[in-house]
Amino acid sequence: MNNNFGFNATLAFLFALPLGLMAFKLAFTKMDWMTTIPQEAYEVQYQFTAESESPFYVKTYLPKSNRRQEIRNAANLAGALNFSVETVDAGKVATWRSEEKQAFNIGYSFTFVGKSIRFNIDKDLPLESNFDKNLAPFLVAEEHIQAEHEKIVALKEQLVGNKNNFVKPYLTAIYQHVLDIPAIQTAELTDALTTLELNEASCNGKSRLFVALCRAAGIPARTVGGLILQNGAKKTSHLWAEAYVYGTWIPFDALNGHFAKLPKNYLELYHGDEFLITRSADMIFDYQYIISKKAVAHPALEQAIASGKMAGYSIWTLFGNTALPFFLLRFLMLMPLAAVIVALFRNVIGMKTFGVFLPALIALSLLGTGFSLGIALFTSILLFVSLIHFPLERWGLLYTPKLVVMLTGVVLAFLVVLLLGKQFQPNGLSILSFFPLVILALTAERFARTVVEDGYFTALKILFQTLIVTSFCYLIFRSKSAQVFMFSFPETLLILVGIMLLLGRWIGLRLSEYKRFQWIEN
Amino acid sequence: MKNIFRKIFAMNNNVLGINQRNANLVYHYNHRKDFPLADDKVRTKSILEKNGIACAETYQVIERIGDIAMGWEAVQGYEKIAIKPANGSGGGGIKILRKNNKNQWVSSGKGMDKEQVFAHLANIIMGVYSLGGKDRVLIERCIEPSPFFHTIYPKGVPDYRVILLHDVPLLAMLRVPTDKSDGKANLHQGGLGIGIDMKNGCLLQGYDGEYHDNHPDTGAPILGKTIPLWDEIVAISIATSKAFPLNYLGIDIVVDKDLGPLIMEINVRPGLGIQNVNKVGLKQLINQSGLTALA
Repeated sequence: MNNNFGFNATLAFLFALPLGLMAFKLAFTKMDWMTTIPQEAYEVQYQFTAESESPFYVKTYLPKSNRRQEIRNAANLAGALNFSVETVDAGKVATWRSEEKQAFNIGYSFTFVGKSIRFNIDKDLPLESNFDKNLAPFLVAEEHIQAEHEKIVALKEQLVGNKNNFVKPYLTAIYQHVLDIPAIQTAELTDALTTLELNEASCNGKSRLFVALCRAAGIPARTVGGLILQNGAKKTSHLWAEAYVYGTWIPFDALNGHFAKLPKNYLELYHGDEFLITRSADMIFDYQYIISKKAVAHPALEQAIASGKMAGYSIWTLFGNTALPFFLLRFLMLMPLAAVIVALFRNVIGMKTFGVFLPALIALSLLGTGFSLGIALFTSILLFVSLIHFPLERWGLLYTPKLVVMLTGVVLAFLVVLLLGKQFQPNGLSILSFFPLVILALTAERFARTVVEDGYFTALKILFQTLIVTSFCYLIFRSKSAQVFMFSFPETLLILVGIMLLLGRWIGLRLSEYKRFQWIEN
Repeated sequence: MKNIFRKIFAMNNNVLGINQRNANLVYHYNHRKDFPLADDKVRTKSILEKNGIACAETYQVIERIGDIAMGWEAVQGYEKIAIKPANGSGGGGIKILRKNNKNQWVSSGKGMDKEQVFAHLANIIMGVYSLGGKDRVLIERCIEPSPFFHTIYPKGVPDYRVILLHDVPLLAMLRVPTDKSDGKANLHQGGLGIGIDMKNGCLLQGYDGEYHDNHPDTGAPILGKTIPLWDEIVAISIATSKAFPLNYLGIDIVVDKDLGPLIMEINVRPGLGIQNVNKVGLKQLINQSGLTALA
């Protein structure tokens, strides 16, 4: 009796407290709860070192907020130098000047939150003509964009001469041609004509040729300069292109295969055929960009926090200022939810899974690889490694050494996948980084043992059920609503515990048992 | 539609599911500290022997690698032995050895020299068949099944499983190998479960996913067959239940052609498939028995 009192009291607490908190929050705040999801952001820092025997200047472009990028917390980190900012057509130019002859560190930092962007160009849009006067510069030749050169014009004719006068087929033909030009890595400036003649180029040659062909075809176009943001330090900047279609500048990257779209990690700094950095001659100069990915609070939420309105209301206000990556925070908040899903599948539906929490962990790694690829990799690595088990078992290996061999097998399979990945997808090297290696090895062992003890059919059946539960966990991890809910109402964790206390005492038949015992008569 | 609801209602009232078995029986009536008495065959047998309950005679228990040579020497006088890991599960690591006419040990038709036997014994001790833990070897008398079983299926060792609550036998079945099960009698390995009419001591239908009145391979009639020594089988199961501090358990009994019913093994988490075999729900039986009331 006493026992039951403790249980019921705990249960009442686990449900009443969070429900009360939720009701309170909903009643007293007028927040857009979506803002409690942290945003994926990049901290970017310019690091220049300059040394000169005479007065010098260094100029570069600073990012501006626009429809697809938001720049916050911008700060000049070179206090000793004369610093000025002016806005020109191409963008926002920062200039650092020194009258002294000595070495300086120049720095500038900001937070970038980007959105991916994608345009659908209607295939029935005719080519425009009679453009506004201010678009004139984007239709004529420039020093490195020889739009009027006979070879460029000839290539344009060859590409679009037989096309009807619609925008989309024009852009598609030009884009496809430039995309198919073999890519090389070079730091040299390559102009449009050279790119055409050599038939190879890096981003800057390809973008200039794309722009030149567009202009030759009568579509206003310009190059855009910036950085592709990835964790780490880099010196390589990036150049892509934009074409003007019915009032909108639409992005094209014919090096990385983006047609009328851009991924969210493209930082835009300037447009036009400019240099990212210009400086005095006769000076020693070096530069790099330090980039780190992290989660930041939504600005509306930050404001609410600053005004004291949100104190302690969402999990994010508690952790917003730590360097916790969003991925980890999301994992922490959604893992218990995924685990509850697993428990329901096992105890209520009666599905069997390899390992209690394996489905949740695999689902997590699917976030990195994408669903179908991840499932395929997981299944093939598992089946491959479980094959290792059979000779080991025949030779009578002990459990722990056997597991080490299988773990090594998992690692080898990983390396192979990574090498293959490098062939097909140069930037996708880290797709596997979240696969739980050790758990895969344990699961392969369990799978192989099930094959030995209960046969292939049973083992594959359990594997299949594991994958089903994994898919549901994946939906949870992907779900925006689940994220908002758990971030806004972290007290839901207590409710989950309460549900599990109830499930732990639930003695009903599992759904699978209704099938198993269906012989029963009414 | 109405029929479906009636059926679901009937199942909920009659059938015992895993959730309820674990919550209301296995962990409710048995203390966790007593589980090893059932899981470890050496401990099981020592309790049986103390209480004078028949089980296969223990020839040797080998606990350390260093004792293998001595232990092996001590069983050389026997013609046929069974080697088992004390904490094995699902039949893993069990080997039946017999001497051929040249006085050499043979297992499953293949000769085994001393080195091979020693390696197997060492593997058992190092826990290969008991999930990483250390284990010990049990060498015991090899059962010669009663000729009654051969009238149903000619090979392997069939056994009876009796489920008891508070020393009252509730449900029983006979498990017989099939061609598919490769000599094993376990249900999930393809063995045939045969229901038992406990009051009259005779066999009911067989079940291997489908119901049979005859053994599916041999065609031997099953339904209605009288079970020899049934009263003794029931008696030994009750005596065993009383000897152990476990209140809900499944007892496996084999019948030796010379020694009669012997206890083979005890299970604290007996499977629920026995309900399918007998076409009767354990929940219904328990509630009718008056031993306890299951929700």
